[in-house]
Amino acid sequence: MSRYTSIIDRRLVVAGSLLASAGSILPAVSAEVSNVPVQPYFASVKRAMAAMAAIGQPISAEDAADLDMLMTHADSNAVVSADAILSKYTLLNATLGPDGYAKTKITAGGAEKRLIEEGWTAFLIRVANPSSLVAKLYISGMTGAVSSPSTGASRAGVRDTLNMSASIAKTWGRTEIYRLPPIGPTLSGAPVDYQVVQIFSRDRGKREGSIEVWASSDPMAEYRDDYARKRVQIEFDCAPSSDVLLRVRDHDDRGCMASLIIKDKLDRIYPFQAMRLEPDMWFQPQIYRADGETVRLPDGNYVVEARRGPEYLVNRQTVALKGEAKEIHVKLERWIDPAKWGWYSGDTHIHGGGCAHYEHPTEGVTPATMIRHVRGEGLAIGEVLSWGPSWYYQKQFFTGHAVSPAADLEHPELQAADNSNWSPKSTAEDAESSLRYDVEVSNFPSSHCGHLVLLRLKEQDYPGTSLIQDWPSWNLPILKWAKAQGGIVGYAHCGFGMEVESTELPNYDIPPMDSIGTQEAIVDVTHGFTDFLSGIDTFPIAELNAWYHMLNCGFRLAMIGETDFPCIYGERPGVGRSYVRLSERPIGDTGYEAWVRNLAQGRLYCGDGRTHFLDWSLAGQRPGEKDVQLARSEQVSVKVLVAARLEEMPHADEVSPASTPNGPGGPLSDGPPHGRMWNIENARIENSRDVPVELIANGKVVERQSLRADGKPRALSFSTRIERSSWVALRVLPSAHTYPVFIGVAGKPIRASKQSAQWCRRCVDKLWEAKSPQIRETERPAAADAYDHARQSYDRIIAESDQA
Amino acid sequence: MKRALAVAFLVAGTPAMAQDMSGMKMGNEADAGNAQIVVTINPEARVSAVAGKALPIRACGSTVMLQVKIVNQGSVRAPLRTKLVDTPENVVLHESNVPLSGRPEELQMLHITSARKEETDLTFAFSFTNDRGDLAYRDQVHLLLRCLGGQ
Repeated sequence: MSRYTSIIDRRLVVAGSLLASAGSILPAVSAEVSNVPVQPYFASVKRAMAAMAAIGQPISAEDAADLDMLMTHADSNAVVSADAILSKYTLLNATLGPDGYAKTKITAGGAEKRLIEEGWTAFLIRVANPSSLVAKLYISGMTGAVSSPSTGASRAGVRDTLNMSASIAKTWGRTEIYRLPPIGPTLSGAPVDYQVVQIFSRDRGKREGSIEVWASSDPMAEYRDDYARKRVQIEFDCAPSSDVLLRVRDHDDRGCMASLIIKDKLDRIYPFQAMRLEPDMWFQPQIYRADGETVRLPDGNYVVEARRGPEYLVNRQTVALKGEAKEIHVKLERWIDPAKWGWYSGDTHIHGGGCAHYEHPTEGVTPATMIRHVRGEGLAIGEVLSWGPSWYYQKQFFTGHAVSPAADLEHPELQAADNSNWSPKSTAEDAESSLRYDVEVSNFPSSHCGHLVLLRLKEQDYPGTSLIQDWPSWNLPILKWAKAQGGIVGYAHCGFGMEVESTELPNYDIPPMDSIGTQEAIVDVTHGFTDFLSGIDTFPIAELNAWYHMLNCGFRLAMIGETDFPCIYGERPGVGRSYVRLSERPIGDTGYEAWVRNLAQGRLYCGDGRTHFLDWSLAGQRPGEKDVQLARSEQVSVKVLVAARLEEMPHADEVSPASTPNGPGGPLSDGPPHGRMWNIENARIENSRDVPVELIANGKVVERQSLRADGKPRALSFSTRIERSSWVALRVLPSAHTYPVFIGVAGKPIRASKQSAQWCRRCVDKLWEAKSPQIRETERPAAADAYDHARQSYDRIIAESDQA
Repeated sequence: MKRALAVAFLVAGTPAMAQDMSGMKMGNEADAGNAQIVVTINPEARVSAVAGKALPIRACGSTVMLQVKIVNQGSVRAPLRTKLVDTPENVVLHESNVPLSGRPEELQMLHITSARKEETDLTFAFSFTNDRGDLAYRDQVHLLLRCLGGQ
């Protein structure tokens, strides 16, 4: 008997017995099924499964495997079997009438009617839609409609319009249809559509609710025609929950903030993901809690996974919660502490509004929430950049100084109404993380020339502007203004628009210059106004190629690490980060100043936090310090202390890091032929636990050694001959990259590659072709002069370069 | 905002008429016009998509052209990639691969050939050459291709 036949037979028995013994559970399924087109049916099932997984309440692994099998043998019997499997997740079966109201039939589904006190639970609704309505499905009767109208993101109230806390607290239960992708806002029109409903219970014990289901494409339908809606009475059993005290201790036993993922035996995530309030995010499975804070959980067994950034081991434990005085103890363990060698990490590109947060311009989160996430990822510095979509709201948090605020709740009244009454707690490590509010020039008139990251600003409004639209339509004037006030400036997500077919590094293909990465940097660097390219969040080859070419021309700029949270990565801040060398831990404004100054001076390495160049020098000189000066060509030695950590075998989290509902573009995306994303797992040498450490001279690999990535620091030595003025760096691609040490030979400037200079020169022409049409006419003459200056600079460098 | 306004009118005891609200656009619903899909490229070049106007019912086995409205907040000029997720048998998407103009709004057409004789659910995923769509499936949109004369 095949597995498929077995599933079919088993499920048919289940379905048949359900129909026979409880006819109301699966009404008319068998009559419908023969008319159900199979492909749209399973497309809907797949979307419902994805939605349940995305919100942290997945279909069980066994059922998901059975459904996957049925999808591959799709026929009417498979539909019957799939319905039977899904019935235990299905709260309601609805057969819509032609108008979506009057002749609609609703019956209870086969799901256990179990809710959670002070928590949310998700169910499926099986919608038979014989009239092919392409309309929104509504569920009402219990209080509903608490989602944000700006994004559809499920949130308890929209604080800038109405204070929902009074109505939230008034009723015991609330319902919310899940309208986000992949399901989408409306029924597809297919004969059967699985939808997802989320139900909140304030109370414990038995509670009865009257639930209406109806469909309409009229946007005002929620406010009328209620007489025509059909309803069903459902009795729920609401499991009690209570506040669980969290004891979160760092490796040195100090209390701290950490990232916690809490799952039950069915892999359901707590608190329920889709209906979270900041500081807990609907797009993350984890929550951030400090030592002494609480989380609301019903009794049961849980797997708690604790993390605190990439320098820590993942701590997984099973806990049983029962009775009074519940506690969860988390003891974090590091595999590396770069601070022992003077390295402190920062993420210079995170946002408090926009992208996955919220799209409404007056929404977003405050420093109180951002600092919680930054502390929970073990970052010393979090640069929160205000940008176009949330500019006028977020810019209120700019002070021109680093801050380390209390991780307070933004809206305690909503928390009290919607969730548990948890009280924020401070910890001994709080001051070790700081926020600096600065600017990303994104969704501004010049953004087509590449997005600028402006750090350490004293003023955030370009002179003479009150609106975004007033800003320059190309970048150099902004860079000059930012530098004049002492800013550190560069280009965000620098690989965008730089992708080419070649997978070589370096390569000499001219990129399309059609996006928002390095772009105008190739011009601006010739004017001395580009301190860094910011990457680790786009394809490594696209990021590094332009950097190598500019270094080969003798320009000095850093490659730094960023996450662009929550735009490129919603997983967490610090996916990409920079480690900056300091003599002491950066605390407060003084510490930030030292950190960002050394960043600009090149005392850094960047990466995914899983490879650490703890100490390295060339001819005794460390990066970011003085150049090495040689009188003539010479053999030089490179000494490095480096540590990296891979699991023994690829871990499921790394193979599929998208435990959050992210689509393509995750860290291990197979992606296009431009290379693979930054992640040490992509550096693993075949099936070993080794990664390659490469010595790079003028952009080319001159020596490669294997490093056992077991987390232990290891000393390596390299030796290379320096023929002419050069730059030398180290990398583990794609996990980490150092800033170079520069070497002058016979006092000559670096002119490492004529081909690199020719590449840059051709890029200037390509840039002008791509960007100049979008520069305002009034600004174009100045831009043309600046581009001419760049052309002349590269022509001069070409002439001075004798090496092809 | 539209919902909030409607609620506010109700709270104030003066509920808005449907026709008063019809011109207001829900924040999460694009103004599609005649387009079947509205693609929004946000300033960070994330690509998201929502369904617009329903596909017309066509003769089974025929070809169909979809209008895609592109709202380009990122001034991106790369070609917009489209692919079908779990492509159903006998369905072919002919991708145009034309670079975007960089203008705030433009239209592109998608050409689909389907030899299927029954309703077909099509899920489209949009991205750029770097294979970057959006978080949380927002780069995907599904449409039902309905036809007459089949089963």
